[in-house]
Amino acid sequence: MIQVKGLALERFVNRALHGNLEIWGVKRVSANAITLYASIASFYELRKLTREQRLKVRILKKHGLPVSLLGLRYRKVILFGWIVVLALILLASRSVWFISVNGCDVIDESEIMAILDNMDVRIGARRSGIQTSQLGIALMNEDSRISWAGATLTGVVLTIDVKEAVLAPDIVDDTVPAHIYAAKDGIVKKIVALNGKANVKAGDAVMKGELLISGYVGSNTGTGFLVRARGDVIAQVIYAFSATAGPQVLQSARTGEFADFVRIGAFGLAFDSLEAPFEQHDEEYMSTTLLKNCFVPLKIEAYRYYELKDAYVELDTEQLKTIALLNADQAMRDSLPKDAKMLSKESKTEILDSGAVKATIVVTTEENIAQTRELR
Amino acid sequence: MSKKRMIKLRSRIMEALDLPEETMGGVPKVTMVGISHMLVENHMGIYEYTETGVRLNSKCGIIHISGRGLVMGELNHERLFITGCIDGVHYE
Repeated sequence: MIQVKGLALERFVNRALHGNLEIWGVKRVSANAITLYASIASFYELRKLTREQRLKVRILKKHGLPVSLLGLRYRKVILFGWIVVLALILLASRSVWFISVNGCDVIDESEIMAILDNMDVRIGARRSGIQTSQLGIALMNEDSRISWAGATLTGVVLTIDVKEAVLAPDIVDDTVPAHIYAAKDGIVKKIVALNGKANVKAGDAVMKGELLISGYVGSNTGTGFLVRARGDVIAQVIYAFSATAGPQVLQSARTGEFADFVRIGAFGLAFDSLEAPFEQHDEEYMSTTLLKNCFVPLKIEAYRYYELKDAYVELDTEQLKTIALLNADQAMRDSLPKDAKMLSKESKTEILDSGAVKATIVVTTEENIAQTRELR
Repeated sequence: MSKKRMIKLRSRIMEALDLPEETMGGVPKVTMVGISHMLVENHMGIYEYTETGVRLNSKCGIIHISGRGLVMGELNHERLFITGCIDGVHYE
């Protein structure tokens, strides 16, 4: 940005325009002065015009890439740093740094990563060595559960899209006659006999192993034939899950031994100054120091490792109740069928003579208790 | 043939051919966007530039653009883009 002072400034602008000089942002600031922007090349040409017209010219502000680069003449270390950074970026951009796998439901992502690893496709691998068109085909050949796989490489991110194969249902031989029995004790809420004859009705209490839908279709006179019974029997089933806790509980406890260490963090990465010297340990945060004046913004956090050892500890009744209930709840989650619809859940605890606490969870579910047994 | 008659003849030919007059070289074209932006094409140089207005030479006479804080944002020997608070424009 320059300022031009003097008389006949319009003539100066017109001459600049006819000389095809690059000027812009012309602004009248006073009766005998204007400010304008000019490129470096045009500025030297403008100087000639101002001398001819006896105008005074003064540079008010310099900006732009050439000016910024000129400032780096005396700061060679920064210039070198920039060159190194650019070189590192260029070098890093030739490798794959992120691999994302989409569409995995049954197949574990780690399995896909293991297959890729066998094909030398891993984080840090050269981008030029990855043939995305072949990668999908290779994945399909390696794992039969994959019906389709495709790979796309965008910058340093390799994206693997997977479509899992839907397994074909088991083929049931309809010609083999079968009965349907109760898989569990329960109260029948609904019975749908698609093939065969219903042996119970809604509201009946049934025991495990009881015949629910008969595969024998015929009259009372004894004439009839056997078919493969098919249908659903929805019943209310009651489950009880128990777990005991105490009087002493095995828990990890601090022994009193400890070791201090620092965690140095920069750019989202963290490094510990010391590996945990104990087999079992927990860590406690102590303090944070930020090194702001450093070339790299470092964050130094102080931590302390505490040694842990398993030991039997005495807990109060409330804590024992909580543990017993959690264990009973876990047992319930492990045992209940996935398709069971939970209608009610009740829990109770009792203190035993030994001081232990017993928790019981009673769950009422609604589920299909039909179990087909073939007649051979 | 005098210059005036020549211009008249050109103008008639353009009219007969149903062509816009601005395609005829040299005729100034003033485009105004809102009250703060104005583009003047085919001007013939700056006649006067003050804090309250710009006067431009053109084939049709002097174009006087009055306003406040007028800045010639982009300019070359054919086009002139003016920004600022434009009060009016007229030929002198």
